[in-house]
Amino acid sequence: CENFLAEEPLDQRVEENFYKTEQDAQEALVAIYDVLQWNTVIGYHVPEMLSDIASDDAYAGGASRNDAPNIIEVDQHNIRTTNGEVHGLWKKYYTGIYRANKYLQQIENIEAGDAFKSRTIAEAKFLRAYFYFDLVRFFENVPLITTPLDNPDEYSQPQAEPVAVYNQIGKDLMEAIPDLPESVATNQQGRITKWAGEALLGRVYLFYNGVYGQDLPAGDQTVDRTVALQMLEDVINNSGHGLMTDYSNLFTPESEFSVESVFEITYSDSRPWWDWGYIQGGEGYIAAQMQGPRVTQPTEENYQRGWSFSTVTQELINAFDPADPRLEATVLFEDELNGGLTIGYQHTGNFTQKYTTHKAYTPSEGQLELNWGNNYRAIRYADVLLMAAELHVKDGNPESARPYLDAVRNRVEMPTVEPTLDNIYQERRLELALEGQRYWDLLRRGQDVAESYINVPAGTKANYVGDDLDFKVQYDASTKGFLPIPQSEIDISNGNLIQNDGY
Amino acid sequence: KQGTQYASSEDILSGQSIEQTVDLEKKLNQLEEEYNISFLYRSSLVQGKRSPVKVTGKETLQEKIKMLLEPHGLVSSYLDKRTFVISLSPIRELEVLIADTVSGIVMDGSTGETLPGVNILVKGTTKGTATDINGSYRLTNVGDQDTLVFSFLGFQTKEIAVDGRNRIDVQLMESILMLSDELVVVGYGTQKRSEITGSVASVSAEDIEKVPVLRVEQALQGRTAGVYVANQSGQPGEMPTVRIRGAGTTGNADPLYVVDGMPVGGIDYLNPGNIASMEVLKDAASAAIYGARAANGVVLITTKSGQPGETKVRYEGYAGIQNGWKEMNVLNASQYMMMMNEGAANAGLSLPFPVGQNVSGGTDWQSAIFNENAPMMNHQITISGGNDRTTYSSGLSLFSQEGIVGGDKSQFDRYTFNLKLDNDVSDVFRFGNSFNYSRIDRNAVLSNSEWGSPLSNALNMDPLTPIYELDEDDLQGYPSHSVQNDGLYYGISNYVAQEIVNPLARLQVTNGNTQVDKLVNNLYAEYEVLPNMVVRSNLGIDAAFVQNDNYVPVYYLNSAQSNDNSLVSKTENRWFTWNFENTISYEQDFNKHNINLLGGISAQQVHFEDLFGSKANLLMTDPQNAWINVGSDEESMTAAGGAYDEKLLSYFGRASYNFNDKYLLTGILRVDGSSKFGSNNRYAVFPSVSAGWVMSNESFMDDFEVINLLKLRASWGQNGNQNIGNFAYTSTIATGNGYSFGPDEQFTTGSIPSSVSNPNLKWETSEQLDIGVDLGLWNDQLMIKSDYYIKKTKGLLVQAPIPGHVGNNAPVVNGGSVQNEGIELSVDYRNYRNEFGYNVGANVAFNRNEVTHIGNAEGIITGAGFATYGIVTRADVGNPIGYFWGYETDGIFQNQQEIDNYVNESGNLIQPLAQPGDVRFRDLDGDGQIDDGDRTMIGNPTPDMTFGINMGANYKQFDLSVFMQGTFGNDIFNATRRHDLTTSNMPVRYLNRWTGEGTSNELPRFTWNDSNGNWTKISDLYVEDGSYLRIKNIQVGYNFSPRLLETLKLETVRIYVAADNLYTLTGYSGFDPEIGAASPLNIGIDRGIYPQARSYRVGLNINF
Repeated sequence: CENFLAEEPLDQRVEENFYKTEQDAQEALVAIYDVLQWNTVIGYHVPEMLSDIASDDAYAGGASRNDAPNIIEVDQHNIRTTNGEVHGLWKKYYTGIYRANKYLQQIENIEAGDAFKSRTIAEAKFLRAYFYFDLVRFFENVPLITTPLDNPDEYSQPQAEPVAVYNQIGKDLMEAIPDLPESVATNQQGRITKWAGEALLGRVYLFYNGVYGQDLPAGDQTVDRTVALQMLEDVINNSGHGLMTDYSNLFTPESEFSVESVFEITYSDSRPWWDWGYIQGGEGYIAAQMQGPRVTQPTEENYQRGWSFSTVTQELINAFDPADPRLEATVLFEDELNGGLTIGYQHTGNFTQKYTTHKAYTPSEGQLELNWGNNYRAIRYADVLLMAAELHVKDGNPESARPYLDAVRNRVEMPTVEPTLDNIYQERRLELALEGQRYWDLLRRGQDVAESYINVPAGTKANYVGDDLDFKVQYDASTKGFLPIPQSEIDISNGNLIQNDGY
Repeated sequence: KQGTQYASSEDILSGQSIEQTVDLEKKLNQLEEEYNISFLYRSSLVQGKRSPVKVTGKETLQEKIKMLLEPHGLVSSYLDKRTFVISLSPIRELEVLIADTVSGIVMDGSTGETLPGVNILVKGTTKGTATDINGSYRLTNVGDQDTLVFSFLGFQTKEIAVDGRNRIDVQLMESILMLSDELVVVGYGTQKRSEITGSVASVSAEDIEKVPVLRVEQALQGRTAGVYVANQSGQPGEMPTVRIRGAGTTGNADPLYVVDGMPVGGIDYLNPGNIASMEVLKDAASAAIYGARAANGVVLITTKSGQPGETKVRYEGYAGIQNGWKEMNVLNASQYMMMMNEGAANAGLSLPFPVGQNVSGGTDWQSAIFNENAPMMNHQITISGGNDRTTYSSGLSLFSQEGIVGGDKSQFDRYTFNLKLDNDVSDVFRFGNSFNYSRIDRNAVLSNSEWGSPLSNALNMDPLTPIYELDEDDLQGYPSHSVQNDGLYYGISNYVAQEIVNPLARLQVTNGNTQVDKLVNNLYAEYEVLPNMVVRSNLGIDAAFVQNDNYVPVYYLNSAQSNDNSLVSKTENRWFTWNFENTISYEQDFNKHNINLLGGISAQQVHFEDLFGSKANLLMTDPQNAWINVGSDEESMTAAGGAYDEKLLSYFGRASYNFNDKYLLTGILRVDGSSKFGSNNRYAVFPSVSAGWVMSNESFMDDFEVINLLKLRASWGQNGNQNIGNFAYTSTIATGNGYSFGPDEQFTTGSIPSSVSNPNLKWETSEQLDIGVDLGLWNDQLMIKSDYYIKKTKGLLVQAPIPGHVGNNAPVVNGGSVQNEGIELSVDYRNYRNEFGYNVGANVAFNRNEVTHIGNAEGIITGAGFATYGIVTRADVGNPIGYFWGYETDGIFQNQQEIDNYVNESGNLIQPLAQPGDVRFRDLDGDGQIDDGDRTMIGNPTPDMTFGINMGANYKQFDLSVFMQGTFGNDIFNATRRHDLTTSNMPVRYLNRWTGEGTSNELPRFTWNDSNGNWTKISDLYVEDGSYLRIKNIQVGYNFSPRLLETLKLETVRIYVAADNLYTLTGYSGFDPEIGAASPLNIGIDRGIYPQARSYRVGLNINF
């Protein structure tokens, strides 16, 4: 009779018989990568878009004041602790971290070759570091979890000191870098390389050092400016990555996985998706849909109908030299459109040109909104050059920085400028505009800098449509620019999670 | 037969002169007064007849009665308790009287029809016989002093002393109410009503016939104390919510349905007209025989069987029309513009409309979507009959109902066919089979959803947008795939956005269809191995094929709601269940001791498979052509499919002991093993014990003649609930977690455990104590039944939220306890003294539901939310399941002074963002600010009290019945307006908003910038009293006279007119106060409910 009742699932594997073979390991590894694409766990929280909206480069936008109040809160720096998008981010990163932890726990017992193991362990560590880095720079005070919590007794976890989290990130990256491959096969592009690891370490170092004024701990090592610079120089000198000739071609389908991409998160329309209730189950990039212009007649445009989020500020446009070709490549101006435009909230007349509903990307199948295949260029070679330049300047070697800065400006045929920190920061803003870097670059330069750039008085500008108050932004320095810990997480933490300052 | 004979005698009488006669009826009434007796008769027998009188004053009562009745061929017989039954005299046959032989005819006392198959027993012996097909019987070797016992299912048993007679004609009276000898189905057998020690409620075929319902569950609504039925919506085919003694779980709280001994997944396949009886096992002791699935109560359904005798053909049918019964008053065009301007002005924003513009009327979206006079009809033909060995009953039915919203987009059709066959092969061996096939074809629209259901759209759509846009300039801006009808474009709003679109356009692009084919067959064989010992085997199958078709055309409703690529999809689900049960039962009397034993074993397996396919870009756009083959995008094709098995293995036993019909004791034990649980907790034991004391059978009660039944009952038992998905105890590997690598976007499979596992998962257990009393007065003319119960459910199966940093979905855990405590009372009175008969019944149930434990860290299970405003319902300790959780308001800030005075201990403003006209929230936790800590219970969606009232009356050939039901003390969360979308339309009552000091202390000012959270904070502003009293059904029927029918060769013909939901008394402002939901955590939230239809029907029942 016991046999009669002992049922196994017919169409699914169970945990007990999974994690056995190299194929299983492969699937488990891919599941970690999967979370890189998760932008809709609760609400719509594409990290690069949210951080741009929090910065001085973009407003929230959307259809109306009521379209996405959570995103408007991020724009206004007046965020409720119950903000859905904030909770979505939290869950996203911990899902990724769980999967990486699970992989690192299970890989030991899987029958697979050593080369496979060491490479995939390194990939899992890179991804864990990538998730933790986003998590800790968004929330600052987060629980540090490095093994799967399978027992309910372990659920209650206190927040770690930020330094402990950064230490884990540094350690994971330092351990991963030697085991990561220098190149991957064409059909495997998107998998982590050594260069991605080194570039990410440079980025983490700059942010940590900027915000906390210290060198990055990494287990029994320390990543100081020299180590960080070595890593970035290694990418510059040995990776084979370089700058594309034509900046205006950077964000087209043809230049995905271009020579300039050090780390690229892939999205695609190859697996058509229709499920609005579980968008992250698909492979599409929702940011493209969100940031697309709300055109009324797509047939007459080069763009499909988007949702007009992340409208571009006049401040960003003003930051460009009008002759800089990057302006045209970065911003879609409403007068470039042929037909009408539905005026949305915080309408500035400007949209992003980088991740948008350009028809070149129109999904071949599936629900239009859910299948945009625009890859997100998470780390570009130009960014690596500018990070290295910044470190050289900070090291007191502006001359070593000069060729890197010049390379970035020469590519767009702009006159060279002196390698000063301010010039490099300005160059970062222009070169990397609307790619999700600006907000972090402001935060790491200090609260005063962040406040001075982000604060905008009420009032409309050139092409703005809306009420004066709609465009007012008041940065809240008491939060240090971090998000609140989601209220519902605090509620179920048994008193272990403490709300961030300023909330 | 008797009718013919009788008609002629009336003709003869008609020649008599009136002076010599008295009115028969009047005279009978006179005798009733004079002798303090009662006559029972069918009015047509005596009405309008006159009898000759001779008054000598010396006649006995019997002689007087005889004198009055004889000329009309009527006889009277003494029933008991000073009651005489008047009926037609039987056909007298020429008989040779044999000294020790008794013969006669048994008739139905109220109709005069002969009754075949009545059991006749010489009391105290095993000698007996049964009436033949003509209702006559003959017993030999009967002594003068013997007493004959006449018994027949559905009739009162009668004992008659032979008293030296050779001829005894008997009239049996139908057991009108829950009479003590009625047999009640109790699970794996039947019990006499008088012997039942648990709490079992019955609904008879008669009750269902009187108020024809569309779905079987509705037959329980308001009829039985403690059974709460709420329609989830008025949409045809929507499954109602059924709760027996409150919701005992946060999960699936539906009862177990057992049809003719076969547990079935749902009962929408049943035709209500085919049901002979429904029994609800309310207490744990009665339900314990179904062990692991009984925690939410058990509903036992018996379908109609044939009766030996002539073939009977019966037609039942009705047709009717349905309409919405209420429109919500929302703002018209000029009110809308005024309010929107005010909202903008209050937010410091520019006005959207010119001031003072007066536009008349505007679009009435509600009248646009309500479908007037939506048709419904039902036809059913049953043929039944048999002989003394074999009986059969077979029926065909067709039911069709169109919705009052959305027309054929909201349509339910059901066809059923059934055949029930019972055969006595020999005196000791019987077998039978019951076969049911049904087909359901259903189209449905989204109902009770704020995310774009047609009704929500109709309430929130602005009145300025026209149904059809005719303005050429506006049409210029319409995208080509805007929705049109007959060449006209549906209007697209310039003011409201998101999910709020033109509801007619929305309906037009909605294409969902479900088809169900279901076959339930149950075969049994019974063998009496020894006298009184019966072995029975049951083999049942339940096969269901459910097919869902969906078609999404290309459309543009507004900038947020559009679809550029048509898609067709189809899902095929297939269930196959077999259920094999073997029982052995034994019953024996030892002097005054009666024991009844039952033992059994049962095994069940459910096998499920599904298949899904879809394809995009259809070459033909008509929904008729929406098949996967019509899709042109080959690469878009998708397929999915899976399977599972689910098994249950059980052992059970029941022992009942009865001493002299006074002391009753029953014990039940069931052991269930289920594949839903891991090896750690696969089996569970469910015991119960119950006892009864029939006080009225004690000699000391003999003095209380009015009391014919007084029984005290007490029971205790445990039941289980296993309503969770399969393999919840382990963690399955989810594969949909892939990633695309490389420029070719090669999709690579990724896999991860779907949740954290919980190998110790076990049954949810519900323990219940029940104490009850049954009282019957004046020979069951008045029946009172009352119960007290306390039901504790432990180890609730919940998927409680776990901290996000765990990083995976929560496991199902045994995480809580719920207690339901209540009192039930039902009173039924009926009086059939003369041609005017009536009955009145009322039942009422009070239930208090309280969560006593939640096993996760925060002690909360969160429930349903509303729009973007977060959680509205939840379960936590000390509160009822699914209570509304929000802020308490304390009026409106009338001026700045009041805001400035509302400070905390440190002198800071508690609501710093408030402006005059905003809501004052109570700082319940006293922490000086308004935050989640101040949220509390602001309403309870489950009623404190539910009640039902039945009234029936008949006068001559007319009958009337009224059925009312309702609830008291429940709240409704009125979420019909999308407050998060500032420009959505609103109820007219919002015009009573605050507009200046002293204008309102209830409704806040209207502003587009709700920084105080007047509406974004879930508060008691949303909560309304949901109590209601509804006249569910009124019916007037007419029975054609037998004489007319004789010429038409028909047996009975009844026509009736009925009205459903004729009147609803409620203070609730929404469409309908009846708001059910599948989940106990989602009940009572009105997101624009699809209301119950008010319908008028004309029906016809014919027996050939």
